Amino acid sequence: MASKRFIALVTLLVIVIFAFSVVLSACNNEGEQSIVETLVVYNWEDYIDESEETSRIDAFVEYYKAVTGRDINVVYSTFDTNETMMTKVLNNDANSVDLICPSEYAIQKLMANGRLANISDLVNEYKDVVPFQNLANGTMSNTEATFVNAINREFSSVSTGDGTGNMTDYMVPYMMGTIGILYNVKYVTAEDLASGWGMLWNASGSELLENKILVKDSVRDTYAAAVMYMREYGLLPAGYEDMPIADLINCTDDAMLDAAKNVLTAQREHISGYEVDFGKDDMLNEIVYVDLAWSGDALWAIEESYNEDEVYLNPRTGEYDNYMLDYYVPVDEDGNATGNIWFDGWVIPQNAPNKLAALMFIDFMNMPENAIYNSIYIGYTSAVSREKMMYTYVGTGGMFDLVDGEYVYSEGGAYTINEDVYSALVDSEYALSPEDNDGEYDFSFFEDDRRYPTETSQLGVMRDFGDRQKNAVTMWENAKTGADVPWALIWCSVAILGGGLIFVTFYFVKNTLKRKPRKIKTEE
Amino acid sequence: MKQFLKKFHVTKRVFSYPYILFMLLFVIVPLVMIFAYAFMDNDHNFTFENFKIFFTSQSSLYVLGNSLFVGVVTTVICLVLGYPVAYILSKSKNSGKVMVLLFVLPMWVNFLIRTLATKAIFLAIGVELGMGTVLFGMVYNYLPFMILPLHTSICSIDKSYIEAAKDLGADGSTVFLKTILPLSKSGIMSGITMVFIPTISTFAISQLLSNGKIFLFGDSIELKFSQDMYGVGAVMSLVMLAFVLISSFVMNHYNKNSVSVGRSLW
Repeated sequence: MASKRFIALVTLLVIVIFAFSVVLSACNNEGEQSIVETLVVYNWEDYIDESEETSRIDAFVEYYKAVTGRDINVVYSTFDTNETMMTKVLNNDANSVDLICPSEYAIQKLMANGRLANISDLVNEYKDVVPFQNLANGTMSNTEATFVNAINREFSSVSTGDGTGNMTDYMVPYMMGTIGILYNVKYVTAEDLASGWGMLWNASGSELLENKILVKDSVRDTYAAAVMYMREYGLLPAGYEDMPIADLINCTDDAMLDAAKNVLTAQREHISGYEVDFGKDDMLNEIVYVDLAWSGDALWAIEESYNEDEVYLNPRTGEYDNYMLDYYVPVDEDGNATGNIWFDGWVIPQNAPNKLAALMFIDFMNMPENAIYNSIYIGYTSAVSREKMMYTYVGTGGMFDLVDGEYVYSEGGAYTINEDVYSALVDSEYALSPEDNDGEYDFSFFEDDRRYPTETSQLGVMRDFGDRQKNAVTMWENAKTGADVPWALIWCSVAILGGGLIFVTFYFVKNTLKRKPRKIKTEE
Repeated sequence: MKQFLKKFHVTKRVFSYPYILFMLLFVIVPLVMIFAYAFMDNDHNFTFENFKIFFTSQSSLYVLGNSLFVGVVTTVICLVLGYPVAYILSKSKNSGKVMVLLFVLPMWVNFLIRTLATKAIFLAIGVELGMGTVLFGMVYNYLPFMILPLHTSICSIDKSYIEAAKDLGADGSTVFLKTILPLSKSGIMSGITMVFIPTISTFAISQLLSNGKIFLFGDSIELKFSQDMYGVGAVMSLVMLAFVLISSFVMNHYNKNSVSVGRSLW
């Protein structure tokens, strides 16, 4: 018997060892083929050009080989919300990641937890090892100037756990956008548009729009919209009326949250509901006519709504075109767009294994000719400055140099059209080639104020709500459940709870009463 | 070595180890974690703050009431619709099995797909999404869970009881009220539990069929966890657990005391 068991055990051991050795040798083989470096990128879904022809990841692999002579394997993983990503990073479940692309408030939170490496220091460290195209001139050297100002205003002194730092040292902006209103030109009139952010409350009282409005199911975005609406219609609590927009949308004290709760509760009666990601589709299928949207999503939906066979009158421009949908950031009395501008930036975690490749990836994506491909592919606005995208400089002394947050024209360089960027625009039909356009270059892609808000826009960047996040979520939940206290419901639930409790106690009492006589019986 | 070999028995018990391990990893550990999170703030310090946040917030109690309301209404509708169906199915001798299969068939389609399809139908015929559509979706999804236990328990009733009742002069309605209904009590109880507990914790159906306007307890828990408020989310899960325990307690009690054969599907 014992020998049988012994044989069984030995066979099992042999099989296990064999299996292990196969697996191990497979691993070794892979390593021997070539010493492949890896770069682990952790980004939003659909947030980089992954098309077959112009994939920017493949292009980076080639670029890396050309510069360093080494092969690199880019592992690309994605997340769907900042919260998912942060939970992973803060719980040390993402220690192999070299590069993340979170939103501004998530960057702030990661910085405060001391998780991010100082990119400016890293660039200085590696500057002599590899040539950087733009990072060598500073992390913001390619970024739109007005945008750098907005970042500096909110994030110039952010906690880094053991001190404070400027966020511009810790991240390089990748994409940016606004929140605004995506609407159907068939049902929305100029009068509705004039109601500004009130359109999400159907302030113009249009019968067509009642219950045909969707808003985002997200605390931060709806809060920003609510603040803008209150500002427009004088519903702000006393003493807050003169605050600039950038401060207003970052103010989450009780008075503001209370006021926002009231307007959001009122909004619930006018809207179709809260959407997570089906808003674009519902807009295209004409199930709803108005949607609170991010600019990139909106521009994508507008492209999709192109209809060759039909012409629509656009109430915003007063012109006829073939697009059923349009996007609009409401303007204040001076005609300046008001609202929230957000951005996502590249950051390198403190413990990233391959910091050099991460820096080169950032540098590569920040080159105008790559930024344009990403921007076209995903629909969002690249944070790379428009001037740098349109023009390229030859010779020494850059055409546009960033001095104190502004691009200053400097002599010494020669000014030419950036042909790479232009041909990308032509390929994706955003512009006609000069031959077909009387020799003219058409840069209307960069002049679209839905994509690039005008410089006078009153747009604020939103910081992390921090400790007030809980209060904001509670406010949001209050607003979503509605205003009227349904006493019938409350009594109903109290009755069920009470009934359950009475039953349980009754049962226990009955059991204890039952048990006693039995005990006496057994004793007898 | 020999001693070790002696211990290496392949007994029946060995086959239960994978399951025990599974239970430990995916039932016991999460429960302990939920319990621990309920008493922790975001920096893992001990606190009662989460309970205070939940029980003092008007909206969370309202959401709970709302869920209980939806749960009760769904259960009642399912019972009212399901009992006659189960009764008729158990009476028909040969076609019964096929009919039961037809009622179980929708359960094989993923509920998310079914719900999305329901939504598309409502939008196509122009029904406004709201409480009504949510209730419809709930009933549609949970009706089989009511019919099956009822069917099993009605089928298991000894026919001689019914014949005896008839012999003693009871008319149709008396036979039903005095014999069949009391004998199928265990089926009713397990049907109610099978429907009530999942309904109060659903979040996808309400979110999809009302565009998020009907905000139920499950939605609220989901929001808490997605907004990094693990503590409050854990407290709410405990409240949910309390409901589950009460319900299963009630169900067990009825099954034990039931006069019928006690055979129930679940």
